[in-house]
Amino acid sequence: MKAALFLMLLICSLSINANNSTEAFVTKNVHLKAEPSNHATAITEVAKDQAVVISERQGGWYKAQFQHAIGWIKIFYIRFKASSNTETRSGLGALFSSTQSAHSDVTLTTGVRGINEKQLSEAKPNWLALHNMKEQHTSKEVAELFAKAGLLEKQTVQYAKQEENR
Amino acid sequence: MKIFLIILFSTLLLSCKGLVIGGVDIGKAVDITSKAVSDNEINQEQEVVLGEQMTSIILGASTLHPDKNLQTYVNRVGQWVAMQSERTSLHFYFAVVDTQAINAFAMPGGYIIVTSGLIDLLDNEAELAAVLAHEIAHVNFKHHVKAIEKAQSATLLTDLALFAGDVYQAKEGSSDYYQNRAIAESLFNSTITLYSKGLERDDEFHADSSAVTLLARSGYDPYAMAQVLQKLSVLNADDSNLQLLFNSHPHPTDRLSSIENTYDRLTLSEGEILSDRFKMFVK
Repeated sequence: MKAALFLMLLICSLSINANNSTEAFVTKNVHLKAEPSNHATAITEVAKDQAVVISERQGGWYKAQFQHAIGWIKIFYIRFKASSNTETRSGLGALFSSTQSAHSDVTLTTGVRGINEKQLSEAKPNWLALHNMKEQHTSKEVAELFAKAGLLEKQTVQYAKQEENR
Repeated sequence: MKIFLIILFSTLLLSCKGLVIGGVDIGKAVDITSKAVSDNEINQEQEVVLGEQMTSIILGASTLHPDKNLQTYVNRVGQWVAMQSERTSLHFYFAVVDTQAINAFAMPGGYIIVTSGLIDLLDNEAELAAVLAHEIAHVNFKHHVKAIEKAQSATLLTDLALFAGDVYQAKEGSSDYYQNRAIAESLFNSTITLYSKGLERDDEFHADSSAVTLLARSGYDPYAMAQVLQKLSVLNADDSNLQLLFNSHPHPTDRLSSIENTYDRLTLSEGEILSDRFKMFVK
């Protein structure tokens, strides 16, 4: 009985691990870093197109398992496998987020009503909806209080160089 | 002859200054139109009116999401991010439309629409802020206005601005918005083309890059933008819900590659993610 219980717990644990990690591949030869930092020690090298398993994100880094080594790879050098048309997003929330999504069971299926080119071309201007949209406007004062409640602090950050030239 | 007509028309318009007919401030409308005739550029007031027309068409293709709390939440996040942009004189309006399609739209003058399908894809407030920051950047840098200016002949651009003036006059409960069918059709076609085919790739990359800065300025996790692009990149381009998104934007993997340079060039703090607050409003 005790052994059966242990086995069940083990299966549950493995299942959770499977849901919280996702297979991906690297887009170039990269170092698996010991910490999520450019200055961290390289544990090993991962060659282009090699498969890794991603479990979480921290800033611009993904925690990745490569063979038996676990470390960190920059977010830009990781690509995930595209989903199929009928795949549910139950895995995706866990895949990407550091937290579990509260609405991760949306199914991506074809043929569901959405905005597409045809609907756009057949659209008639909806002035009432525009009026209602404008009614929802948030003042700057309310937005300041909202930011404060979320502990959001203004930072001084310039645009990257390419914007300065525009 | 054409120049003479323009001068004559401008003179007639200018003579209307201060004139109010049937409660309609013709003088104000004339200010808009005469400016367009004289320098053939869209000023901020015209941009806002033009944006209203375009927004009404986009809203005509879907319906507003019925959850008022969600609408308020998105407006608060959006307003906070917009306050970090350069165009603080604009009033920004945000709306969620109820569709499983995954997309977001920015219209000139500060009108931004996001689909509930896209919100469903997100996991925290920083990611929502990233989506809105991308659209705010389009408004900030007038990408759509510039696209219209580039695509339309000079005459048509002036006509569009004149039409916007007509609509401004007819705003007070009038149903006479389409009195000039030819110009109305131009505006309609411009809107459909812009939002079906999308902006130039560089404008999209520019908006992504600027969104990183806007996120950082707002105190959010700046890497939320890259995370959203990763999420988009795994979606299947053949999905009908994504048709418009993939038709109108570069592929997310190209956007990810492009945005890497931005992160390399900026010194960024960690920023907030705010998962719990997001879950309170997004069910």
